[in-house]
Amino acid sequence: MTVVLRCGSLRGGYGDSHVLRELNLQINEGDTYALIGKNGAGKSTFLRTVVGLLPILDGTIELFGRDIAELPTYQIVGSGVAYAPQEKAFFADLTVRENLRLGSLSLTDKQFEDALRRVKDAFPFIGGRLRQKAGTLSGGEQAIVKVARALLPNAALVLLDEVSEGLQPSVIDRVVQALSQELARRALTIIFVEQNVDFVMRVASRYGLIDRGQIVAEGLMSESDAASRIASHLSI
Amino acid sequence: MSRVPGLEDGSRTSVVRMPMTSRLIGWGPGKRALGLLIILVAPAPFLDAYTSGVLIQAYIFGILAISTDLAWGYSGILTFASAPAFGLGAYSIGTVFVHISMSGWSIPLAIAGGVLLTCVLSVGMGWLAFYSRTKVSEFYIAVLTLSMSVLLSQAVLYGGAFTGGSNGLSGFESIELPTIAWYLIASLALFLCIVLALILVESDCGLALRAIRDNEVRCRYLGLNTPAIKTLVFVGCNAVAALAGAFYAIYSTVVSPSLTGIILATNVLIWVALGGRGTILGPAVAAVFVNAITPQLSTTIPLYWQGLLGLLFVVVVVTLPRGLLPEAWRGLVATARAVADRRSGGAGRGAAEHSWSVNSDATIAISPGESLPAPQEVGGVVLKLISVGKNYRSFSALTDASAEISRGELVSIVGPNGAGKTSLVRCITDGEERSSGQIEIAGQALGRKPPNAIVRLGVGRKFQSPSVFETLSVSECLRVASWKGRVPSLWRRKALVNLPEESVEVIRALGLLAVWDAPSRDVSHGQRQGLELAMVLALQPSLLILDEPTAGLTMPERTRVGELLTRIVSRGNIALLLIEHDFNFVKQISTRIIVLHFGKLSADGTVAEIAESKLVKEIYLGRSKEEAHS
Repeated sequence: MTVVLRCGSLRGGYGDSHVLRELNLQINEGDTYALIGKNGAGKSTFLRTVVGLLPILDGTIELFGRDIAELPTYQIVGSGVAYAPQEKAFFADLTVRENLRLGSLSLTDKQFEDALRRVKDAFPFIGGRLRQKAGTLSGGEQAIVKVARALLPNAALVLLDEVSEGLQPSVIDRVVQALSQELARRALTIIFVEQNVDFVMRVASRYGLIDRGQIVAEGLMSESDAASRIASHLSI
Repeated sequence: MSRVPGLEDGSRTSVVRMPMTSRLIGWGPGKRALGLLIILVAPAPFLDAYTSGVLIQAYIFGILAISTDLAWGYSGILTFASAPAFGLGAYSIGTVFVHISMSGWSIPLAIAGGVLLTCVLSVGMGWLAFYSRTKVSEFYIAVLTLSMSVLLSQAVLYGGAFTGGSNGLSGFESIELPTIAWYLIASLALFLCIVLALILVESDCGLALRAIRDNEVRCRYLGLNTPAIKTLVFVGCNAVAALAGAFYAIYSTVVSPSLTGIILATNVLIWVALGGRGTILGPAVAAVFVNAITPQLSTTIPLYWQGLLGLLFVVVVVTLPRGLLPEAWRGLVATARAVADRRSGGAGRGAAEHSWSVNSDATIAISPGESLPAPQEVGGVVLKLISVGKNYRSFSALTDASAEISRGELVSIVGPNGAGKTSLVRCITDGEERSSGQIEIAGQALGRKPPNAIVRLGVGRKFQSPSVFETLSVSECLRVASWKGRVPSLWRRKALVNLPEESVEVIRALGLLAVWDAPSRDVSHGQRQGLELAMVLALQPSLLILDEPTAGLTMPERTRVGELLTRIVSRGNIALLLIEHDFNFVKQISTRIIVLHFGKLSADGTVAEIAESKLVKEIYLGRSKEEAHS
């Protein structure tokens, strides 16, 4: 079993405030792992720390067996990580195609065209909008492009932060389908941060419950008590 | 007024009191001001004429740095206007004293003339830069002021005998005072400038400036007339720069083209960045320090001193991006904490375990406050859309949309991504957005009103992505919203943040008190959503427009927010327009649903009608046609 990501006693956060406190986590190749917790529990902070947007204040993060403490974001991403942030981070004045290309600079032109074809099959609306400026897309459309951009570069680890937010139900179905196809096609590990429990229960194989910056419980989605444990953690 | 658990009951309002901020230095503002005055004035008897002269000029440039810090550091207006304003003030003195006379009446007249001319030019530039309805870059004002600086330099350079050309005007008759008197006047002027600037930035108005710097769009949608405020700040800062220029000319009896040019303008920005943008004291100290050592360095190392200054600037920008003073202060605070920790035997070491300490001296008050236009009114049409259309060039995002929404209704707009939902919201909240048709808010035509004027008609809008003030704390964001678009006090910060009960309920439901003092950029996405919702509710609008208010919230939080929204609407004095993709949530709380599809209102009916319609099942929920038909 290949370990993709291992965090040991990880502390992270903003300035003096430690949002992540002694977080321990191991993600193996092929995992589709849902990180579930209340608002402010540290979910997005965790993803931002993994990609180097926030500093590691203490503890370790090993990515593909390598300590990333001193690595800048572009090197972490270059090692095979794709990240779809919660906010709609786009180059508003560039076209959808240019935005997608910038998200997959590791691919050759031919590889990009192949990958783009797959993404267009998954999300047909993108095909008609490639020449449109990303800033003029609606909020929901930007959310779709965000998922597409994360899937394009064939990264081994994909981090998806609340990607179902702002999507109509039928498009969420398409996202589930697209992720399933990618998982069937290649070795892919995904970490989800989600509030939409229904969505992650359909796509994730494992879950971790996070509270005040610590993983307090883990389990398999296939286990019969998964739904009730998640619901009780979120106080539903 | 209901009593909210955990909040004290005041005589007229329910309040929650926050512990006072622990202060590093136990001195109050009065003692600090006295200390500053002593530092500035005390050396006077011991200074020789040369040193006094150098310090007088340094203090004048300190004033110039403060005025620029107010514009750039606090209000986000990157301006090169300090030098042309300074030059205008100086040249008005020079030309009047040389060509007319230096008598009792001409001194105030020359000062007033310079300041007035500066104000007129600044109003013109402000109107061009801040009132433009098209989106202009924040650098537009920089280019505009830079051009003004170049123009004015050329004007004085080629002004012939009137301006003295490249030599300027010098040695003219001016007010005769002993050097120590000049020194005391300059010290007092700098002291007053620092104190007044600090009072302004610590006031509610200073908070408004920081809010505008952070997120001008959000400010406009909270009702603040940001173009007017920015123009006023810009004009005020330039007027102070002109006064400093006049003082410089009266004291030095020398005016030259360099006082209006881009070198001085750039130097001022360097002093501000060196000292610490947005700190008042930092830019003043940097300006005084650089100008005090310049004469010495320019004689001992004439070839290198400017290079050295440039190098220092580069080093500071790279290593201490926030400037010297804030970094020095941070170091001091860290040292003080370490010392306090050691004294208390390491008890404070656990401080980092707490997420954000609640140490603000702000107090929330739940009070009805002054409502925006007549929310007490129950029933009646509050929003009327008449054939509204919106085009983006050849693309038609919204076509012929007509509908009416009354108080007491919670109308959800649903539709596929890209159906035109947010475009419709834009048309309602900004008069310039509409391509065709008419909109009326409570019987008043929207016309081409800007967003801040529409807020005053009673419209509150929450954006799709949470739009708050990133560097402001949660409590400061709510404070800005609580003003309901009125320009706040210039000299004080109110002890109470007046919020309606609905806002406080959201604050409590989403745990915002736990992050009360955290910069809003550092709180979670869901809490930012809650914060923006609480801010919009603070406006007490009669038409509340929420674009996906529950995105990023957990299920219990959604439920609480849903219950709250239902309760607000049930009072009958508010209409709520909701855009939301969670169809179950929509079904639970709506009184009516409108379906938008390809920019057209495709259906408008009760929850039961719409939920069962084939249209919704097909286009929105994505069920197959067969399934929908069955």
